[in-house]
Amino acid sequence: MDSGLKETNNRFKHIPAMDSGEFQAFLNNSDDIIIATDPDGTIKFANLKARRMLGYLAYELEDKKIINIVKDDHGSYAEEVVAKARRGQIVKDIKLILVGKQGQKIMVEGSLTPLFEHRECTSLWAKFTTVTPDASTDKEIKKLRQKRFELEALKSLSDRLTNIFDLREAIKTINNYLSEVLEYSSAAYLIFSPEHDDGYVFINYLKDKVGKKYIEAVKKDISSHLTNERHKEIKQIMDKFTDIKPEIHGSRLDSGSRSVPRSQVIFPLKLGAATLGLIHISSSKPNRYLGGTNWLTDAMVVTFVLFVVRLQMVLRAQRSRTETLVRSLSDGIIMFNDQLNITLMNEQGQEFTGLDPNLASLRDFFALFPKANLESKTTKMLVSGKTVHVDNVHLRSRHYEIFFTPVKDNQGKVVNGAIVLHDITRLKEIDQMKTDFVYIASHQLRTPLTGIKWFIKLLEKEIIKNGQVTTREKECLEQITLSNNIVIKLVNDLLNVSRIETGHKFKIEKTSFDFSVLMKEILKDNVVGMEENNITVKVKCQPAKLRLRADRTKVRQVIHNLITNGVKYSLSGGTVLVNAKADKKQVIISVKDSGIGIPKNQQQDIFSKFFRADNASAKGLPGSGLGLYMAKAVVEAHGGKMSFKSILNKGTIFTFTLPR
Amino acid sequence: MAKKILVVEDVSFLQNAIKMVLEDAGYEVLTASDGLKGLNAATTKKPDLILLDIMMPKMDGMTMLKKLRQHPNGKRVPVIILTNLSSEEKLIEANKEGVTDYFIKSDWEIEELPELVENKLG
Repeated sequence: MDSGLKETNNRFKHIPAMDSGEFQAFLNNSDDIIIATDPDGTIKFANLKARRMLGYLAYELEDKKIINIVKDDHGSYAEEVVAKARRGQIVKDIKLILVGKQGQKIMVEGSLTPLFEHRECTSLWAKFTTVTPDASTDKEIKKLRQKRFELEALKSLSDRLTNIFDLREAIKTINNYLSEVLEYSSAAYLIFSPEHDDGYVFINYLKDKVGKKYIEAVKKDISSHLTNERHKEIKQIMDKFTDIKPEIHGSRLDSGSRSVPRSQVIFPLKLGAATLGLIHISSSKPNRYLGGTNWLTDAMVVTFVLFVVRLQMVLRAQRSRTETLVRSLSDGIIMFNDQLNITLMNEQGQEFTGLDPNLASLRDFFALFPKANLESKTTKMLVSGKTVHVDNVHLRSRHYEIFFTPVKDNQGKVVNGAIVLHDITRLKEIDQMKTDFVYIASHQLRTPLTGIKWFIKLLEKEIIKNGQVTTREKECLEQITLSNNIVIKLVNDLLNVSRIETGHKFKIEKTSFDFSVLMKEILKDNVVGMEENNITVKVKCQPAKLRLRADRTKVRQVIHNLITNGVKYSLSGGTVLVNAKADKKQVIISVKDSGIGIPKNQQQDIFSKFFRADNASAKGLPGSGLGLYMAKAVVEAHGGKMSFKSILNKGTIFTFTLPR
Repeated sequence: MAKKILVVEDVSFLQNAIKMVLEDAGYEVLTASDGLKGLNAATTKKPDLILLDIMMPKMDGMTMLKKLRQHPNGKRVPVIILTNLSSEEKLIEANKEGVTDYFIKSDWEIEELPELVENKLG
């Protein structure tokens, strides 16, 4: 017999029923857990059900507190309940987890009722029923959770698409979405769009490793779906569909795979009656899409359709803005695709070329400039992906600079080309005016310079005639002469340069003459600095009697120029060697010095107009920087070539050839 | 008697310099500043030698020379062309008209002139 009951009997002996065994039996037969405690929660009685559920013997429960038999984190809740009850409240809807002797957890719910005697709480009676999770409620909850999850995914997809303006990026986003709601091996997108040059975009995204066989099957399925398509443009595309290769995204094609789609579903992308395209989902596993499409995938399709339509509108607007801009440019623009068909020619382009963009091909354009070899320039641009530039071409009495630029897609692949025709006629005219001006100016300058030159000499004579020329006077006259000579030389050089540039009066008049005789003349010319710096000039000629056929005056000038340079930039006591030899084809003349040389980083500019290397200017000797420019022009006008080799502070050798 | 030299040159200071140097060398110098005046002087004053510029207003040197050679008084007189042109085109053309020699103003020194004149007078 429970000792606990004895106590109870003693306590509740004023309730007659409590004394009886029937009451005890009643409590023990109950299917509920009944626990009686004293006001502070110490257990005084636990019925059979309670003891069985908790796995305790009666005496083991005695003097345990309620909080000892509840789950840890329910402890304070239990205390609260006990405190409430003690104050006189019947606490209902208690939900607790009891912990049994072996640590087993029992979910219960029930009430705690206080008993009072003479307004004093004498006991607390807890009545609990066990709770088992309802199988059907669980299912409901799961379903709701799933729905919420799906809606959230759809909303997130929709949000993301709002910020995307690129079709491929949108497709990527959709693929990610699909991965969360469907199982699939491949997602193929066929989107008809006039904005895209071929009229469509066909992308096959591979989630699993599949092979050619698989994507061929996908194509076939798509093709049969669209056989009834009436729209003309789409029909055109579908006619060539078997030849069309999709862009493969995601996994690479696995050449060893022989898997085929075992389940597939097509989502047509339609706006009203218009077909925008379709999305083809397939899996290498069977029976994946038996449910067909559901509200969720339908919602996704609608979202995507709206995206495509929005994108097309944006692209159209952009394109028309771009087209307007291109058409209004003052440069001629010709755009062409990878088939080398002209896709756009602006008004200026038409005016410049005289071509009709609807009829002309790129070949016709190339044919306008036969000497410029534009076809190879176009190829170079397409292959290298870099802009190619042609300096100066001539068409219908105007001059153009032509740029070939690539037009690339998002992945940096060259898809189109653009040719820009820039009119430089005005620039050329101005350049010509400048040259003409130099010519005229230098020509006019010669006369007064001659006057100065002559009168200096006459003045000199007068002063000497009067006897007693002071050193000062002599020096002044010498300096005036020197300065004047420099000016004369510069003016002569400018004149020659402008002659070269215009081709005006720069004609080669060939005569036959003897090299050694020419050299003798040149050396008689008293090359500046030869004596003062003790420079020797040696001439070697092979064969000894070498005859040339060239413009004597100009060649004389070239050699004179090279020797002058050799002497000017030589170190004291050096030698300048002039060497001439001939073979059947040409005469090769070289002038070698042991002078200051040309610094390596300035060598590429040495033949440029007005260029003087830093070490040459530093030497303090006068020079216009025009000598080599003119020398090269003369040699090249003869059909020859001019080159040099130089080592800093060791010397330079200039070599030129004159064809026979 | 001093030999008479006619200098036909439109640029006055060049004309002066030539006059100066030739007078110093003992010649009598006549001057004309364009082709017309020059032709007139050449046919009437009968100089012993003519120094003739090519580029002149009213009548240029080549035209004057042609006309001179057609004149009885001008068939034989030695003519030295004064030129700035370093290309020999015009000189070759001038040779046909009976030019005795040429003197390139821009390249040559003034003191070489009297020597040249003396050579051609002989």
